Amino acid sequence: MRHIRVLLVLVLWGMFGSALAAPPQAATTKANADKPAVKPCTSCHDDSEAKVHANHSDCVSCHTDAEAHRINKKTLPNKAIASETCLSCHATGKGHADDAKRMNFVFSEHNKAGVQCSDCHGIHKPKVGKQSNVGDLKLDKNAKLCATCHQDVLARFSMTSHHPLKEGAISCTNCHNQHDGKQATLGGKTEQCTQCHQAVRGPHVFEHPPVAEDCANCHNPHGSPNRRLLDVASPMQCLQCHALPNNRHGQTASAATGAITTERISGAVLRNCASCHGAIHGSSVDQHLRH
Amino acid sequence: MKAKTLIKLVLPTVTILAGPALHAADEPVQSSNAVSAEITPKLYYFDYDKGFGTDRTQFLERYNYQKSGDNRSGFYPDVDASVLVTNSQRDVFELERQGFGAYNQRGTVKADSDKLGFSGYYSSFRSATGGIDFLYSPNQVVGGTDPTYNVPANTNTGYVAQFNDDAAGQTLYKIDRTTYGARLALKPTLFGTTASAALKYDGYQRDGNRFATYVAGGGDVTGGAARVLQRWRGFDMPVNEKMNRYTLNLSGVPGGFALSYEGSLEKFDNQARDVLMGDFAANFAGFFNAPSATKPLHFVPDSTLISNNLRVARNFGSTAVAAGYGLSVLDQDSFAQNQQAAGYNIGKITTNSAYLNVHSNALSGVGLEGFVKYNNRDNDSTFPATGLIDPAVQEKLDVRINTIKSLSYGLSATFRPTTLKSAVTVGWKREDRDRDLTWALLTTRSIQPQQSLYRQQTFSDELYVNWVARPMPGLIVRVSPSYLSANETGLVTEPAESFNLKTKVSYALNGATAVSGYYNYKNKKNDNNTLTNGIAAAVSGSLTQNTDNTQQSAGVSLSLTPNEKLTTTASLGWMQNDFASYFISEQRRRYEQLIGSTNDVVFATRGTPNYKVDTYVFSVGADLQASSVLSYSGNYTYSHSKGSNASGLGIPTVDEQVNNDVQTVSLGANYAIKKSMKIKGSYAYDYYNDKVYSSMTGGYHTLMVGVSLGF
Repeated sequence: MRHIRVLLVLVLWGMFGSALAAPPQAATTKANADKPAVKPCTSCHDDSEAKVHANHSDCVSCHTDAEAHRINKKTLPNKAIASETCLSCHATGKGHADDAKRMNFVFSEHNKAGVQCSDCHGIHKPKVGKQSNVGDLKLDKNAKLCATCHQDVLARFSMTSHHPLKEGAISCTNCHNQHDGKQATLGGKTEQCTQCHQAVRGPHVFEHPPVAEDCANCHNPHGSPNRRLLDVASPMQCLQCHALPNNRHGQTASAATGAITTERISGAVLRNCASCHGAIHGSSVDQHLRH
Repeated sequence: MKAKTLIKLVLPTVTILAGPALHAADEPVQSSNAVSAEITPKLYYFDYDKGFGTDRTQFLERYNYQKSGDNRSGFYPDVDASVLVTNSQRDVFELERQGFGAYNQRGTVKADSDKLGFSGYYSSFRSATGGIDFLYSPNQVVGGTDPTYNVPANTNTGYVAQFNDDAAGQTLYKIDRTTYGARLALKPTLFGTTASAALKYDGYQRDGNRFATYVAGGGDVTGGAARVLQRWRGFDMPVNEKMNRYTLNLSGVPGGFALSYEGSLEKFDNQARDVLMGDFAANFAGFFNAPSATKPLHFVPDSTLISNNLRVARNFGSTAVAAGYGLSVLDQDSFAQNQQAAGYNIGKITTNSAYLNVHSNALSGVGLEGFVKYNNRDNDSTFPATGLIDPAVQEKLDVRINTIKSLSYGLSATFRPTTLKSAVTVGWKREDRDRDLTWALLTTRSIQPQQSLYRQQTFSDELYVNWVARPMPGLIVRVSPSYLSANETGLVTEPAESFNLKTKVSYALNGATAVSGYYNYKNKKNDNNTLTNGIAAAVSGSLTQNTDNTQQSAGVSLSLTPNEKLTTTASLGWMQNDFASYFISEQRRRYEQLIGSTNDVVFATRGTPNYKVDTYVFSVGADLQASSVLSYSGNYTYSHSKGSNASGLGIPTVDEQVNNDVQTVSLGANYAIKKSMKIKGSYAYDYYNDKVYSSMTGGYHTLMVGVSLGF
């Protein structure tokens, strides 16, 4: 293991050490060689805002109608940058390693809702800065950004049972691909959750059908007033699908009567189905999912 | 790879990566790299207020575990750090570490060049999740057990008269989850084409324990009538899991086709010892049946998941086409003794999925879109396995899911009428899900499909409209109604009929004021699925389950920046879930159905319990730059949930009702002694008040003081 570690460090050194130490001007010069000079823009506009990315300092590649403004300042360029403009560089293999994540943006729910790249990504500076309210200190920066629009979802994370988003242990983008569409995803519905919750994925000898179908049959992943993110608290969560046999959940073994008894079924049986059926996600040996 | 190993690996790597970048910054003649760094040593003080004693976890520890050993108050040091190296092209190096207590920490590192990119991360988070269930465990609350169930001795259900705790005095339940990973990206510039590649590693380690409960089968105990009281048990279950995932991404845009391949190998190892029923045999008061000693309790198998996904997308003028195919195979790597003895040696789930999407703006003024999506989950595990899972043997099979095939498709059209600067999308979706299920043979006493609410088919159609309007600058209105109708439903949790409405209005003024409001409504009903009395018409009749689930939420939020020094926010949200279904009984277990005898199973409703819980969330916050050197920050959040879990069922109050508050007050201040030195302080008080189960009530104070040094 030690040798692998040393080897990996050396490889990384070889790849990045020189890249970091090399004067960046050469690359800058090459990258901007065939682009319009930046000066005319930055002579008026504060160039500190155009610093997020080298190519973003080339104003006219995004503000495509800025040429007229450079000639006549009274002609104002369109400040809204269409997603297509961004994707012409960020989804076409022009220097970025993550373009594949954005290749289906046109089919994404965000795009269909009219959300543009610039609604989330600051073109000149990050949309959500490092400074944040003391109440959001632990929140991941991606989650902070999502929360600016999805307030109905954010509210669920303040419920008594929630995924630890506000605590910073998870982020929206751990589960959601903001650049993709629901109709352009691969894999089963449960695979999303079992990327982190492998312990419940089995394979189980005895499967519980709603578990195999979709975790959201029982759980609300954002938040719930019920323990374990249950959409509806036990026992009602279970009773919508399951009938209770008197002779196993009633106070007497009444099977011989052949009729439904009206005896009381007390809380000891109904309080929490998983107290007895503890292998609720599936079992290796027990068809009753008890262990 | 263990966390410590990874840290040993990452730290020297980061040091090497940072070295030249930092060094370059010292030589402005050679490079324009600019370095900024900040390190903030901090001292935390915590103090638990109310709640359980030192030996028990309480509610708030689930999300903010501060305890150190058995201490309920104490100090601990921590440090935040950030390093950023930038040049005129990009952020070439970034290192960030944040700590929010001894058990909530995270860090990231990134290095970027025009040809390569590297990133790494780690986080650790401790949660007392298992402790919540322990505090609600049957022997902890009034009504958790009911002695009347065993009077007179009831060999079937009498076990709920007594709960047997085998946890050996353990009352602390906590799990540490440490995640880590690294990614190396080879950018298109490196290859001189549009191609790129990335190698990624993700992993986690999960350590701790949880309180697990189970019921031993009737055959697991032997002897006199009192044996039944030994069946319901709980124990301290060790958790020690490790996951390693290696992912390769290849992508490129040859000839205008965007291609992407992602392949991953994921190994999940359960390193905790297997717990067997026989481990607690001595606690069964002499009633344990020795042959059951090898039965595993909550067995978690090792498994391997191999996934391959291929995607392609292409624009043809104003038409975009995307397609993809994925194949994943989940293999079980370790088997319980009982599985091996039964010849069960293959646990395998294969999933095939594919999609085709088309979007076109070819027609003037109308955007058209269509999709087809396919998914097939195939269970290739050993079946049958004699003595374990067998359709010919009583109580050896409920239902086996062989395959679940899902085909969904739909069309939509988007118009952009000039009225109110609108965009209107009208669409239709259909889902056709087909399950191949194996039920136990009719010749054995077994569960038959007519006596289950699980069905082979789901077939639904949905119509929807999305309307987005921007009638004036800064104002956005969104209204999205949809209606779904299903002829057939596989589960009653699926809607036979559903109406969904989402609305939102947001208004932003001059970047200083933003106000928004939303209202969401969703109702889904199911009366498709029916239980049939008897099998051979000895008893006729049927009973249809009827579920009705309405979820509503509404809220408003305001962000106000009256001047450049002050920012304020406020929000109020309401959520309600209202659910009702029949509570159905049967006089005997479906396993006892015997064709042509008086053992036919009869179903009957026992009532229509109602689950209805309202939750309100209110939050207000402010940030004030009091002077050039002093800033304040404050936040208050209040969440209140109240309602009934199952009115009319008569379960214990502690389970039947929800009535609790969570309040959090946070205050912070930063004072700059000089440009490169700040004093930071924060105080937070969290308080959980449970009006149903008062023992859960508790709170804690957290005080932090740090000195931030900038470089």
